Amino acid sequence: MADFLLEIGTEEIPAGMIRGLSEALSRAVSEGLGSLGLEAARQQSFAAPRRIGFLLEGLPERQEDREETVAGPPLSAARDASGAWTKAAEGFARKQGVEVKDLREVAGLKGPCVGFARHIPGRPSAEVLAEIVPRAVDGLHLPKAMRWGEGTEVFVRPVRWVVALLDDRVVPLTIKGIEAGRTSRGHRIHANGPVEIGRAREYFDVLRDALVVAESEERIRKLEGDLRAAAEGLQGRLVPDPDLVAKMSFLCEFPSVVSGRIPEEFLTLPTEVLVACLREHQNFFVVRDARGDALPHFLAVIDAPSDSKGFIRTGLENVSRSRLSDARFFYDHDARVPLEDRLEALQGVVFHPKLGTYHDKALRTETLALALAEIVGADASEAGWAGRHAKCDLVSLLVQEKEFTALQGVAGGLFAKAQGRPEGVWQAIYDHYRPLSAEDALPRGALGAVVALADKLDTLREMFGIGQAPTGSKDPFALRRGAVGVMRILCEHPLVKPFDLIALLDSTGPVPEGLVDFLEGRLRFLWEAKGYPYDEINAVLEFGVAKGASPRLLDLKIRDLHTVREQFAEDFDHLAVAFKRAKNILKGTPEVGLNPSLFLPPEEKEGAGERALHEAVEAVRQEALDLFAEGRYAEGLQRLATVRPAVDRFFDDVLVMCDPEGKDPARTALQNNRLALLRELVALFDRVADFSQIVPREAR
Amino acid sequence: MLTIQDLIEKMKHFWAGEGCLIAEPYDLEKGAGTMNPETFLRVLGPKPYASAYVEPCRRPRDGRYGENPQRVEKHHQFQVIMKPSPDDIQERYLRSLEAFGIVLEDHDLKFEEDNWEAPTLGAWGVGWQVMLDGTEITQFTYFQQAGGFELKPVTVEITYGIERLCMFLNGIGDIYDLPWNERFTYGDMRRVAARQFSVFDFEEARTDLTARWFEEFEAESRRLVEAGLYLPAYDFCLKASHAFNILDARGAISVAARADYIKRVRRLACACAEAYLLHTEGGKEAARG
Repeated sequence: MADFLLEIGTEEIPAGMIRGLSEALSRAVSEGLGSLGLEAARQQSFAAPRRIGFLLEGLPERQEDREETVAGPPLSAARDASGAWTKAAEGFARKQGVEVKDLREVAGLKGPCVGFARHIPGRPSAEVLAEIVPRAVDGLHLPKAMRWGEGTEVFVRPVRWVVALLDDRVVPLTIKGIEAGRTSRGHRIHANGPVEIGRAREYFDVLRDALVVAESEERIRKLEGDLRAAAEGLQGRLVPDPDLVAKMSFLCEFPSVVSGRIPEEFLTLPTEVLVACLREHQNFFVVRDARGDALPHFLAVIDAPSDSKGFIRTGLENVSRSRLSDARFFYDHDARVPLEDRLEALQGVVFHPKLGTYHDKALRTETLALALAEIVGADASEAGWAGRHAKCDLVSLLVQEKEFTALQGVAGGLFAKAQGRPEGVWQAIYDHYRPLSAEDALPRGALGAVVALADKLDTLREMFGIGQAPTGSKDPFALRRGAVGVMRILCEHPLVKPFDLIALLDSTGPVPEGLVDFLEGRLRFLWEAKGYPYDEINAVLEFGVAKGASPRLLDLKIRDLHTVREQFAEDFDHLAVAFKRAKNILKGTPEVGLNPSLFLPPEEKEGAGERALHEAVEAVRQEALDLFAEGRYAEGLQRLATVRPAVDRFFDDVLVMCDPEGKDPARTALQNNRLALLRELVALFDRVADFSQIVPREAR
Repeated sequence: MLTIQDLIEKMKHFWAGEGCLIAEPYDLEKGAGTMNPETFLRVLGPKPYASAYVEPCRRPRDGRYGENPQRVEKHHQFQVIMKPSPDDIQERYLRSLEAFGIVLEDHDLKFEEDNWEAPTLGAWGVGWQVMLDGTEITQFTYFQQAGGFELKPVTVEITYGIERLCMFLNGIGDIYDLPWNERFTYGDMRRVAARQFSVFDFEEARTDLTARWFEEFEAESRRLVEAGLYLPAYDFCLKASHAFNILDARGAISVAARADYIKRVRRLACACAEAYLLHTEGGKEAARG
């Protein structure tokens, strides 16, 4: 067994691409080796700014030998009557370069043939690697390809060295025009120079001595530990920011942490602005106190073992001071301009060429917010004001700066707060982009829900109106995210009671085709993400948003349906089968009222069946309806489930279509009455879901 | 203390030592050293080339009336181009920083992805911004395309922000406090111009006149390139580009019109590039791709 090391040395690969490339390379090589019968016991890939590669441990020295059967002419032509080999067989042997004595009978595709077993010696792993590895590198999908030098090679960044070692021997291979050797390189600045790798498995230790932590997870762990220790040393803590940690770990060969001071005068900036400034511009982490407010310290990640002379800290503090001065200037200026004075300027900001400006959007959002305020029970004048001014921060200096664009909404809320607007109003503007995902927090308060809904519904309505519905992976206006946000607020917001969404849309403007289905589709997406089975989703959505149901009630229905079904799985499966039958029978039949006096006498089997079902339904009907009306679907369903034996009995004993041709008026009446009974039963369950869509567990 | 003029001397000296021809700035307004024909045209075609030069760059929108310590309407780039890009170009670059007096071991240096694109030139490249203790001191780019043509061999472009680097080297936070030499500051040399050009760019520039000039410069560039005079044609392309920048600073260009202006300048630049290639040894093949 041997170990194989591959290191591709490059100029700095973009931070976001390194790990993906390294993993794809490892995968491609191990698949290639596997297909040739070579498998390593362990594989460890590494990914750092200037190198990607992997170490394979416990790789066989060579492929195993194997036998291959070679078949020639059919036996009928290869043996004569005496059983001796014919000329044809001898010719075959000569051509294949084997002795006649080695020939024997083998199975061919069309019957027995002459043939022989060829011994194929396994190839040395080094040879196989030299073939497979360059091919794997060339086959990598590059997120952004480039050329350099003479322009003949293509990779993500220029390749400058290659190390390929099988234990202590160099494997002769060439990658992107570079011949492999055993010489790696140390840290770009702090251990600059060649580093000889003696044996493959020594790689990680040798590199660490040269101030390169090659393995990405190790760098991330080191960085997380250093950040935590530094924050604790400053009696503070950090808000977890895994994206920034990962980014920085891929910008450093040997990450360390230095702290710097934020001048006191900037601590009066809102924490959101301070953090965005230092994070987006400088990749700094802001240290916070227990309440989440900023302490006068930032932490920065440097690609150096330490800042022994303090030069780096000074440099970082200088840059951050000038950045913070900019932020201070922007924020102070913006906070002084009343939001309502900015409304005019929105006429200069195009929302969409076909849809006018943000000024137009602001007025539409206001209309929607007023309508929603009435439904939700929020203060109408506050809702209208917040809806009208939610986008005013788009023309602020702050939001127009690249590193602060992510603060839109938040910035407007901060300005409104600084300008003395009521808490509900500034929070509504602050939160109006929320929720940004299936996990993000919901907007605060009733006003928050109203404005967030108004903004999103307007965008969805207008974009659908001009045929900009998302297609495939294209969703430039993030309509999917917006629709998920709408559905989450409607389903989950504690201050939003169920209401008819379509009626609201209808009363405030056109409802473009496809919009309602799209919204319902996002509800489906949320449910699938929560793990609800598709048949339950289908059953509930049969009477879904498109039919005027409120998302909140639908959400309660699916939750309860799922719970009750888990409890009464067997009853449900039975009921599902019965409902499928019932729906089929009911298709196209006349709607006639139920008349219990038409039931056959209880002494007759059919009469007993009819009456039993009728009694069972009547016994639970009112109670179930009352429970449903209160949104207590689980309890209602539990009551309804008790009708199962009566339903089974009905279908066993009663012939519903007793007069399919309609020849006998008395029997026709009997038949219609039975249909009416079924219709009542189905209607009762339909209050929750279409049970005929439930797929019995065994059938799935 | 390292003055602006000392730094420029060191830059020229270092890159001359690396085999670069030391060129002079081009005598027309432009937004970046890349637009100097010394870069834009020389990167085209197969012929090896290496040069370095100072380029004053005008960006009307960045004007701050001489009052912002970091932003100015006109700054200076030191531009290095080498074709084909040498295998050890990053090491050479790091040695240049040491030659300017930076002890790299005492600092934090990162190459952060920053891909460059100049839509008005039909040009893009792949590379980094070089960050030194959090300050961006250099743009480092492997040119992939210019004037709409794939580049082979590939030119590497290193663009130092002279003021930025000098501020870093001296630990100075206000650009106007930089020493130009022992007696004069950057403010002495540039503050009045910074004020006047901000007033001009943001308030006084006549948009009707500038818009008309744009049309005329464009027409002239097209006429000249048809006549085979691609160098004068390129001059008019640069003039058109600067007229566009002034209109932009004056806020006289809507979002939709902006894209159209950029496309028109790009057409001029691409036409000049094509004509240059057709008249250059080995360039015809490159022009055909």
